[in-house]
Amino acid sequence: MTRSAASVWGGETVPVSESLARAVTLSALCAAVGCVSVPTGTSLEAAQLATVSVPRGAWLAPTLITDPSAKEVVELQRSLTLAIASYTSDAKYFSRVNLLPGNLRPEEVVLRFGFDRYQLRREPHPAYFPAAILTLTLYIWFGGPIYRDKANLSAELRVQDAAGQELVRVSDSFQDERDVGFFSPDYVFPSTIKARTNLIRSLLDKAVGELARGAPATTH
Amino acid sequence: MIPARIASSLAVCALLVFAASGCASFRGGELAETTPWPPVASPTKKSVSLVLAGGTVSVNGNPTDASPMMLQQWREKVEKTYADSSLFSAVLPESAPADVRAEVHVSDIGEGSMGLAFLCGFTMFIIPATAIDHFTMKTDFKNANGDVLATIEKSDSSRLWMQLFLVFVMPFNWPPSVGEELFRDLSRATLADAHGKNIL
Repeated sequence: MTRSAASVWGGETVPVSESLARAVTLSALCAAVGCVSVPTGTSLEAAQLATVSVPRGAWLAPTLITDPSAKEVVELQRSLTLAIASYTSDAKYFSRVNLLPGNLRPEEVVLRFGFDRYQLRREPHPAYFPAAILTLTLYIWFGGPIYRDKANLSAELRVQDAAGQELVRVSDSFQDERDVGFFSPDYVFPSTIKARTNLIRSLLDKAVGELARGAPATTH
Repeated sequence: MIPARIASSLAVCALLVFAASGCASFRGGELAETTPWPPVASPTKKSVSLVLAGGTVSVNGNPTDASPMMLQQWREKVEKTYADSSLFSAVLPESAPADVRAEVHVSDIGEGSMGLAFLCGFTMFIIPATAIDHFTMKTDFKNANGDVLATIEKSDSSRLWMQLFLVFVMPFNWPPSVGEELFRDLSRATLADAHGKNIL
């Protein structure tokens, strides 16, 4: 990939080249030690229109990531909070969505997201080494799986009213495993965008569903 | 068996080729220079809290994650331009109450030829390779009540070329420096527009 040069030669990186350098490092580490944690990001898929919504505003509290294996937590939390706010706003779960701190109206609610698992791990596919050797690397060139990426996410969403009283608490988790070959887009740029978006959408669907029914509840 | 002298000469040649491989970035020029800069600040400056997230980030149409390192670099560049603008009484983190909140979404649509990149590396940078990043910075300015004061979107691109002889151009178009200038200019243009709309 062309963007590697700046990463290799620059103390500071340009964006996509940085991703490539990360991928190369990951590949090297994976080959050397067998399994590595991939630094996860915060991007989300484009929002799908919500199936259920409530006619009140929502304020998003800073998102918490308590997974001890997560790196660069402060930066992740910052960015993920805005990413979730944008997603929630674009999907139209609420009449408007803002970030705390701010001046809440009495009818508005506060959303508190907390992630206790925020992981993406990459390990060599069990067939990779034997198959690549036995086929004199043809296995690789014909797209046989080289890595296995495992996403493991778990989160909770608490919804409070403007006075701080809890209205709804929901939690969910999402595991995803995918095989990655040489020609797969995930080969160079592993990501958990899909898993992350699914989890956040699921939490919002559940919580807003409960809010719409007007019954405080806990669902899993 | 290769004699030690030839082997060491080959090693030196290989090192030289790798060390001299050139790359340089060039701006697309979609964004006009912001003049005058900095704008004349109003007598009563407002404080601003800044939060940044990666919007759409993709490589050849495949969505990818903006890594925490990328996000941090982007935020620091934007934050620096806001601080240098002299338009604000303070530039605060997102958790601090402020007169104005700037919610910055950065999208980076990257395109490049994987085949050409392979050839470039395979031929020791004799055959050139190129890739382009299209950046879009969308900023929502909001007040403390959460009302949107303005939404401003600015775009520009940066093309990276890799070829052996670009080593001579590299000092003048160093990719990280070009990236820094691009973010500075996107932020400046955003602030100039916001200032023109009297929200700062």
